[in-house]
Amino acid sequence: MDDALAQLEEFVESTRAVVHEIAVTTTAALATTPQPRRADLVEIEPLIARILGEREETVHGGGFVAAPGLLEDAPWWLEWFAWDAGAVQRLVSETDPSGATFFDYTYMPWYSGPRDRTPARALTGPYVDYLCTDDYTLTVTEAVRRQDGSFAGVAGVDVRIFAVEERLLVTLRDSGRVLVLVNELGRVTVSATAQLLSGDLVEDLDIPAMFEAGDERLTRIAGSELGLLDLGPR
Amino acid sequence: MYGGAAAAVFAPLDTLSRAEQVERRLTDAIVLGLIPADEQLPGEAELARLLGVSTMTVREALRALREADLIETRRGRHGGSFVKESRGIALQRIVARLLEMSTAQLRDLGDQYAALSGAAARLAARRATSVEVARLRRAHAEIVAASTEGARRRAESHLQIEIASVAQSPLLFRAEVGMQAELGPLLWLGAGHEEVLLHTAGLAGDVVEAIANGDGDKARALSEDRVVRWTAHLVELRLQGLETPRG
Repeated sequence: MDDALAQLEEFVESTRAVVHEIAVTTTAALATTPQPRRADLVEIEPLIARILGEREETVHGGGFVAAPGLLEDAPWWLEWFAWDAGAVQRLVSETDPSGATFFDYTYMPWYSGPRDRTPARALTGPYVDYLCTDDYTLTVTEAVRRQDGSFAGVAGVDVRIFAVEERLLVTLRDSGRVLVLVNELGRVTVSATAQLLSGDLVEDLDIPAMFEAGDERLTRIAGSELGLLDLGPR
Repeated sequence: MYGGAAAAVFAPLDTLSRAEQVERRLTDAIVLGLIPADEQLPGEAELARLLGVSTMTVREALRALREADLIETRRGRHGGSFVKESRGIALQRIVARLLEMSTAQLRDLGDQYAALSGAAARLAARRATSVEVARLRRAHAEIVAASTEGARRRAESHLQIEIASVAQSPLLFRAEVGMQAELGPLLWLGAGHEEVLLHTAGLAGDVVEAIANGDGDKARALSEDRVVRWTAHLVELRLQGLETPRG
């Protein structure tokens, strides 16, 4: 149990550190001009390429998602890069609101979470990421603010669930307990039991209420939206 | 530019005449409205890379699209290939494709798609959280609010995509996107008819509510029913297109 917790905390903290690095770079880029344009974000790409290179086994994509109206030449914009066919590629997405596949990302929890909550960050998922990877994903995001304190968007990275699972599965299995990593909505993120699989909802326990009440069977990971649920001995 | 379901438009192609496949893929995307009028296509080299074909192949396909009046090429600094306002022409081509298919083929494709969307709806009912139910309701509201046939088709397509994503299965999701890329134009031809749409838009609301209530069996049955109705309309269109033999 302790091994699993330590491993998970390390995972969350180190992923947040990477996201923070993207946020810092973006904040600095935005500070250079009163009316930023897409071209002002040019430093994000090499940074993401470096991060994806260093953390290839877990981090699948990352970048900055601009608040609507932030950029003068692109009212909606995702400066986002991901592994695709062995290379770091720019995410191509519809950013014209009248376009057929335009998608209002301000509703997405990875965007609205950091915008609306304190601390201004979110760990979203697992979910099928149809904006970018089409894969089962966790997204870690942090708010980016302008010098005047106004919300400018979110910096973030995508992590493949299967990469998280690979690192964690043996630890969970060998813990001697039935341990299940769940999110605040009760969705299983990683488990080492066939009765509850990644993507399932835990049905017989009210997980949101357990998070709320600080139930002793559930340990929140580094203040995030994930918790390790202990269902007793194996 | 393009994302989500539209990305499938630029997924790598398999064998047969490559230029024709590129041409068909782009025609489908234009008919579906995935690439709207006035939108600039990626450059030849970029298209070649995205589709995994040579620039020669792309050039040949673009020439065919230009001859079919689906795109135009503008010169100069902001030049490139742009989608023309030509839904009518593109639609004729899709109808022509429909007329090449047998009713048995249409039935079979309908069966496959019904199985897929039924299974996705059933899993979605089991796995949807309140957050996701809210997303599905928004997608349904898009169908209700859509004022043109094209907008309704796109909204129907969007709801199908959302349900597949709520099922929490990347493989089912990719199958849905794949089927929409392959079949979309035909499918929405079946779905696009005013009468069919009014009926299946009502069914869409019932599917969403069944998912919200966690009733997987009902969600599956209703979802299959939607596809069966689209398919039936496609078969009718196919039969109407038959010429009566003379003599």
